[in-house]
Amino acid sequence: MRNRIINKLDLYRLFWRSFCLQAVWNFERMQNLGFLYILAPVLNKLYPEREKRIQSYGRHLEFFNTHPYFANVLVGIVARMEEEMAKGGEVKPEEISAVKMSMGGAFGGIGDSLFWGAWRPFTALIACVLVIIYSKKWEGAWLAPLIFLFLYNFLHFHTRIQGVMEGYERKTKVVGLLKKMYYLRTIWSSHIIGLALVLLTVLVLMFRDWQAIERLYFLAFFLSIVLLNRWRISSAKLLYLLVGISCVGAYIF
Amino acid sequence: MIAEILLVSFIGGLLSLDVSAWGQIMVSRPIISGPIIGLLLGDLKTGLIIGVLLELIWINVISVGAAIPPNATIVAVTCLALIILTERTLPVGNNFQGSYRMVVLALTMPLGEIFKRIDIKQRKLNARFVHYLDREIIKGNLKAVERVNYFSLFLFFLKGLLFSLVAISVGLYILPKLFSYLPFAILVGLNFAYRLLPALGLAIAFNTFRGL
Repeated sequence: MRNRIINKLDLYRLFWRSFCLQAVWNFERMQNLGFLYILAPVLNKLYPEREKRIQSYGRHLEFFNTHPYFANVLVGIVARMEEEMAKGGEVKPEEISAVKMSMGGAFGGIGDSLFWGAWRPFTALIACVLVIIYSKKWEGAWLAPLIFLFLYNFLHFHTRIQGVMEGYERKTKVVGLLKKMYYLRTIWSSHIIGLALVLLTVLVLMFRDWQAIERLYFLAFFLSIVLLNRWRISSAKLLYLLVGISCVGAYIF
Repeated sequence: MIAEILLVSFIGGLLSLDVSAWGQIMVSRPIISGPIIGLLLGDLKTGLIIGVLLELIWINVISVGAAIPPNATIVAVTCLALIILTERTLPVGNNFQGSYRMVVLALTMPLGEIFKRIDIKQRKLNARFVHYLDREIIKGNLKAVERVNYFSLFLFFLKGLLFSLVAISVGLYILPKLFSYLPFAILVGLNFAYRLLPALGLAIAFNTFRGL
């Protein structure tokens, strides 16, 4: 059993502080101050001598950028490496920088496509569809946003806590963590469910809220927006297009 | 009224923190911030509807790397506050509720872009904090790290608060006048547009999921 300086409570403290990662996000070195802020209690504990502590703070002022949730994996890894270095192990400061740089980029890519690209749109869509379909009777509709919050944050908090813990335990072998997170695979395939949900909602709206020939307008409008959006016309412009067309249309008819 | 505007701006400031500065537990998404503002102003139903419409419209907004997308939270907060507060002044049994909502929506939409510009300015200025800390840490003033973090968080909060306060106040001044100028034909057209709005959101959601 190796003697540890960082205990479980410190790791939870890192987790709690990790919410502030982007508090001083800047274009020059991005999340560097957030990362230093998260790590500060651990650095204070590891380096009681003032001179070394100042040095360790200075080292973490370097550029750092990754996905905010997966940053916790790196927080865990760096805490462990700093601990080993403080105890006189053979970890060099350059190694810590290298790990922060290389793994930061990799986790950034994974996190962006996993959370921003797939999980958030998917959970948000579920809530939106629930509200739209149940909008005729309002008793239960307010539950939908809560469902979104719980679904989304289940994976979010799991990633944050596991990130710190596993990163600290396994160091750079943490890439295996991604294999362990088998549920990721189900999220990759969620876009098919998402497409089906959208189409179902369009059909429900078409037959519930519109009558006779108006249904065709509705469907034609949906399809044309799909096409226009495909050509990278932004949401705001599409909204103005809708306003313009309907105003002109009202004058003509 | 004034107390309500202040309360909404305060909550708007807190919610806009969640976009990136603190947490990102997604209370900043329109689908959550909409109902929250609705609840504060006593109209949860409107909050839910507009929240869902805005969520679908901005569902593809992703901040990859250093890119900063238009701010959906500030649009949701100001748009909902303006819709609920102006609807109180409209005569009861108005047939064109949807048209007025559409006007508010169209007018608050650019706020997301404007707020994004301010956000970029602030993030450029944040580099000054980095240089400040570069000097302070060499001097041995390690407590400055925490202070700078909290101060920057406070600035992010203040930015959201002031922006929504100004936007809601200006909107409340302009909108009732604008409503009274709108001709009948435009109102009919806008009402139709409001009914089509879910299709717009769903089409954008469709493309988001097709593009994954």
